[in-house]
Amino acid sequence: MMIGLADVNRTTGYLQGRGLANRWLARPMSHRRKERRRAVEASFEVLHPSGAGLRGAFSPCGRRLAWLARLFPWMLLSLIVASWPTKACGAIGCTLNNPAQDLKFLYPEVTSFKEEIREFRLLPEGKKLYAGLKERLGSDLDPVYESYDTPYTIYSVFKGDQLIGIVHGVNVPGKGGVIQVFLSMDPTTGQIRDFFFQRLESRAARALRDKDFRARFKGLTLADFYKHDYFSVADPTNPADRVAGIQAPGKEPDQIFDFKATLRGVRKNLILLDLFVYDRRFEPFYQRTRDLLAGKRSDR
Amino acid sequence: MLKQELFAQITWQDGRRAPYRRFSYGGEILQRFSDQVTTWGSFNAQWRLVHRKAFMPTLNDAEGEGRPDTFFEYHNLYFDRFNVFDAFLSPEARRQHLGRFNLRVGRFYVPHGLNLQTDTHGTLLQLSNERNLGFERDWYAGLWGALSPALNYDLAMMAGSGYDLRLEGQKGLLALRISLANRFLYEHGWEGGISVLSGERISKHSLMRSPSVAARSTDGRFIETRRLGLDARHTRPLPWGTLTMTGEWSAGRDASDDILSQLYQVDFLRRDRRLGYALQYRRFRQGSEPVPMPMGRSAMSRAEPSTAAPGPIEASLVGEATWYFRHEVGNANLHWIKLSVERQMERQVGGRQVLATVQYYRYW
Repeated sequence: MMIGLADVNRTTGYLQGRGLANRWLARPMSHRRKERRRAVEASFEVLHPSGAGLRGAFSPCGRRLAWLARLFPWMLLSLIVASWPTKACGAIGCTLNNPAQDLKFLYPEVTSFKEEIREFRLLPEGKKLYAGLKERLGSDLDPVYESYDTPYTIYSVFKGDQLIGIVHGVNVPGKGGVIQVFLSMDPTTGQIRDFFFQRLESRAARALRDKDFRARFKGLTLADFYKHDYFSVADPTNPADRVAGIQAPGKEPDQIFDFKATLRGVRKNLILLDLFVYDRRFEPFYQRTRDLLAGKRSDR
Repeated sequence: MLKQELFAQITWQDGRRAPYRRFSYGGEILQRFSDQVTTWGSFNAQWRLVHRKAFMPTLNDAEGEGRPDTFFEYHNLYFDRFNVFDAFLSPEARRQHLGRFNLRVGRFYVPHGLNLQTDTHGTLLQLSNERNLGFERDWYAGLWGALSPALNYDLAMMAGSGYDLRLEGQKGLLALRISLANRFLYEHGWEGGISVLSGERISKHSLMRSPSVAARSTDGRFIETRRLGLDARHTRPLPWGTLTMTGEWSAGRDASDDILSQLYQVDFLRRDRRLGYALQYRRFRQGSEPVPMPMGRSAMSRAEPSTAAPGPIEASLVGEATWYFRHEVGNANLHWIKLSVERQMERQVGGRQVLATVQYYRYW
C-alpha cells in the first residue's frame, strides 16, 4: 500500500487542526533530525512523478509525519491482531493437510473440530520436558525432525459440545525420507482408536499401510510401551507385552528400518499426547518401569 | 504465531558493472481463531522492509521495478472464515458439509496453476503466474474447500490489479480451480489441477510487451484476459533422496494475442535434507496481432525494425543448488544459502543475458 500525497496532507491537516503537530514541531531540530528529514524528502521525490517542488508541496508538518502516516495502517492492524481475545495458533509442523476430510473419515459423527498448537519452548520448564521426551523415547532426538522449537498441532474433535476424539501427528525419519504418523485417540482412556500414515516416503510403504498391520496398534496406550521396556528385559515371552506382539511386516532391511521408525513415531506421539493432553497420567508407568529396571540391574 | 525472516540476494548480469542487491527483514503472522468447540477462522499476513540497489527484474522480484530503494512491502494479507454457512445449516447439514464452504478475503496467490499449493515467498525459482498475468498474488474474495473426498475447489472473484488494490472500472477476474485432494499426494505422490480465468486485469508490463494488447485494451489499461490452465506435480522417494517433477501449462488470450505459458521443473532433495538441486525451464509465448492503424498509414508489422516491436517468446533455463542449514519438514524453520544461474534463451524485449544469484535466507 503506498501512502500518497493526498493521504499525507489529509493527516497533516487533521493533526494541525488539533494543535498536535505544532507542539511536536516546536522542538528545536538536531543535526541528525535534519539529515533524516532530507532523506525522507529525497525518498518522496523519487515517489512523486514530477520529482520537483515537493518542498513547496509539503508543509514542515507533512514531511515529518510522512513516515508515521505510512506506518499507521500497519500499526492499526497490529493492534487489532494483538488485542483479539483468542488463542494464537498456527498451522505448521506436522498438520493434517485436509483436516475436515480426514477427521470426517476418522469420526463420521464429527460436527466441528478445534486446532491448538503446542510447543516446548512455550511451556514452563520446556527444556526439561524436552529432555524428558528423549529419556522416555529411549533414543536421541533427530535435530531436523524433532527439534526443540518444532510445533505440534492437536486436533480436538467434537460432536456438538461433546469431545469425541483427539488426533495428533508427528514426523520421524525413515529410510527413504519423512514418515508422518497420525494417531486418532480416545479422549478419555488415552487408547489408540486408529493409526495412519499421512506421509510415507518408503519403499516399504505398501506393507506398512496394510490395514491388518495398522489394526495391531488399536487399543494400545503409552503404558503398554513402558511395560514393553520392562518385559523386553525381564520377561520377553510374557503375553501381557502387547507391543512385542507387533512384528515387522517383512524381512527386508528397508521394511525393518521403517517399521522401527514407525514404532518410534507411535511411541513419540503417545508421549507428546501424554504431556499436552492427558496431563501426564501415564507417568507413573514410566517411573515404575524405571524403578523395576534399576532394581534388576542392581540385582545383577 | 509470529515468524521472522531475513533475506539477502545479490544478482550479477554479464555486461553490467554493478550487481543487483536486495536485503530485507520481514515477518509473518499466522493466527487462528477458535471458540470452545471450533477453529472458525485464520489470518495470515506477510511483510518485508526491503532495500534494493541497482534493480534488475529477476524471476523473484519483477514487482520491485519502480519502487524506491527502501520500501515496505506486504505479500499475503488474507482472512479465512471456515465453514462460513454453518449459521444457516442444521447440525446434520453442518456435519455433511464440514470443510466444504470456506470463505477467503484478502490478498493471496491467484487460483491458477500450482501457486496455491506452493510457497514461493522465499525462493528464487518462481512459478509461471508472475510472467503469465503480471502478478502471482491478487486481491480477491472467494470460496474454497472439498468438493468430494477426491477433489478440492477454489472459486474467486479477483480485482485483477495485482499488488495494489485498485478498482478503476476493470471487470476483474473470475477464477476457478479444481484440484486433487491431498490424499493423492500422500498415497501416490501426485498433486495437480485444472483452472480457468476470465475477465479484465491491469498489468503495465503486459501493455508494454504487446502494442496490439495496448491498442485493444479498454481505456488503454484494462486487458481482456482468458486462460485455461493445467498443472501437475509428482513427488517420488528414491533411496538417496526425494525427486519432485513439476509442470504448469496455461493457454489463452490477452485481448487478441494468443498466450501459451509452459514451465517444467525438477527438484532433488538429499535424504538428510541438507542439499538440494533444481532445474527449471520456462517458456512464455505471445502471438501479437497487427495493430490497426489510422487511415493513411500502413498497418504496423512486427517485422518492421523501426517499430522495435517485442518478440513473441520469452524463455529461460535456470539451475540452482541449495545448502540447508535448517530445513524443518513442515517449513516452520528454514535457513539456507543458494546459488542460481539463469540462462535467458529468448527474450521479448532486450538482449539475452546470463544472471547469477547468491541468496541467503532465514525464516524462524
